Amino acid sequence: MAKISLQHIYKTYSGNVTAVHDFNLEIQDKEFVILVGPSGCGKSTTLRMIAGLEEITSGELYIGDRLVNDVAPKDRDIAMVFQNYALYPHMSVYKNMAFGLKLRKVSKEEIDQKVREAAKILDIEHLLDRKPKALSGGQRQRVALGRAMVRNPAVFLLDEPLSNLDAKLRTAMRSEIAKLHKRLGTTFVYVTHDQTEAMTMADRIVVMKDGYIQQVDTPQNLYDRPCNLFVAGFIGSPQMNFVDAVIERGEKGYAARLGESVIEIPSQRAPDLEHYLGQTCVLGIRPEDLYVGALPPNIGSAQPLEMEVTLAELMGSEVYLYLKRGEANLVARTPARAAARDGDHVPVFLDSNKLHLFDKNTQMAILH
Amino acid sequence: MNRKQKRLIVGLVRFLILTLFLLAVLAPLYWLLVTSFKTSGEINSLQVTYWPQQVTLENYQKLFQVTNFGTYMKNSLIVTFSSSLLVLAFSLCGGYALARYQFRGKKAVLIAFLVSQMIPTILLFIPMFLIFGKLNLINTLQSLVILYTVFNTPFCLITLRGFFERIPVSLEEAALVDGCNKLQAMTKIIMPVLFPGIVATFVFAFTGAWNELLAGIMFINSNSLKTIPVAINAFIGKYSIDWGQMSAACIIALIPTTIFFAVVQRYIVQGLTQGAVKE
Repeated sequence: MAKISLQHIYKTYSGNVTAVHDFNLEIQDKEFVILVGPSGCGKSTTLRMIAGLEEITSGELYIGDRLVNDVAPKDRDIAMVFQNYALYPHMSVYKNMAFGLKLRKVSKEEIDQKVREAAKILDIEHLLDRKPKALSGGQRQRVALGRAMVRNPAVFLLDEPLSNLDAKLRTAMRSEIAKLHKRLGTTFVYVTHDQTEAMTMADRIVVMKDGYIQQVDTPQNLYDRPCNLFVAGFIGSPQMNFVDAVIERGEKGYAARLGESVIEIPSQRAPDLEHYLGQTCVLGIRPEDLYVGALPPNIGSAQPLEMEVTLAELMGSEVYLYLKRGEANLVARTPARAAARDGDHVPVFLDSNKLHLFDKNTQMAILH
Repeated sequence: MNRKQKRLIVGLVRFLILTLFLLAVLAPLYWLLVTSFKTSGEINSLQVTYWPQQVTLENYQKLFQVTNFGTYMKNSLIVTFSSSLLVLAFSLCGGYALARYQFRGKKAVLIAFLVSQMIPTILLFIPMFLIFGKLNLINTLQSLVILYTVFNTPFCLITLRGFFERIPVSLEEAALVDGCNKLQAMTKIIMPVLFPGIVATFVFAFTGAWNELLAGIMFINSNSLKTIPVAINAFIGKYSIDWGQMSAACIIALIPTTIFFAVVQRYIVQGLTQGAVKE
């Protein structure tokens, strides 16, 4: 049980490639933090620095109250689950799980008790005598989790543990890992490139890009109030729609003009946009905040956009409509019943209470 | 012709080809074995006999009574085992470094090792002889140990590098996180996983040293320091060849390697990291 503190952490490889820039983060005890970002964003490097498998170029890393920059991985009281499982092929499942305890000279009885307990939780009791090669992908993943669990570490590090599993198994393991976290009450640091995993499991998400932290927040806040264009586009599926809009003076404050259509920005939401008057900003709106056909009551906005349906993607309970008008392409998420067909021209309403505005140059959010 | 007959014919042809191949490989060995039990009279007679007319152990007896074959065997075992173990030690360290670390000149080192394999070893004997002469190493078993180590290391090192590269780094990292230091990760995880590779490399170095003749002839003068190939070669006299004793010596020389192969062959064919990682 420990909190982790990363202070001004940098990772520079020879040849002056900086993989991680000024990484600052306080991870609370028992927190489930997920580092997410596209490949090459430095998330795995950061995790490996916490594990001690990668040297920290500069900055300070504390686990608990202890500065661990120069502490060997084995002395950091951590356990790690690898993307490719990394099970010891010459040992049985039991020995794989017992290995760490054996090295720590734990008594045989205690090892046996801990291994069997972990195996029971993970439902792999019947596999204990098998070698890894006789296991399926999902079973191997469980063994890898078990190997980490038995040691009862202060921190659990997981490096894309689900990315090698098929879609169905991944969803199942997702909830199991979340449950495991609750049950163990240990600090979890988890790396993934899959925003769905991040959204469903994390207490807090750290979004990274090109070695920089973009935003650190709870899944809900990240979804509702992304701090810049990158985060807005990365979190959410299908992703947020972006269209260029010119800021104008509206009836009761400000408005955004998309071609001939004008969308009033509710005055209670709008910050001071004086500075942006006449300028082009990026308007962001999530697919579920678009209404096709008719506008439900109590939703802002008035003027609909006339758009053409280029593709209707049936997802079962809902339909993703790909809409086009001139340069603007939008995706709307609508109930399956209200489905329009390809080629239909439909009125599209934007929920102006859910608009996001981003500065086109700095890419930072102006309005959430 | 139906499918069953077709399959039968294919099987028969395969059986025939393999049998012929096996015969071609085993016939000289059979001849060696048979000759070693023949009397010298029978060997030198013009009549070809496929089985000894009179089975005799005379050749084996003479081998140990007249010549110092026991000593030769001891010499060969000492030289072969020491050089093979040295080759293994160097190749493990070097192969690991070449597989895991990035350093300046890594490619050049690899190419140098490969190029060294293209030079005929006999070309190296002259400078080696001069160097060993200065170091007072000529006519010692150490000279052979050094030579065999030097000759066999490059190939074994490159082979082991290949084996190391097939072991995912994450296996080592998992061991480090689990509580190993670098050395423990090596001995407890990497070595056992690498075992088939180690065996294959050792076998190569072993047979290379065990069968080597030229260096043995050049660098060893005294009778008491001869290795088996040199001793066998000595049966070729100026006027006659003692086929009987030579065959007996060859059969005895084959015994250690045969036992060795019988023990280790199952490791050579085994897969390395089955089930360790998701491939």
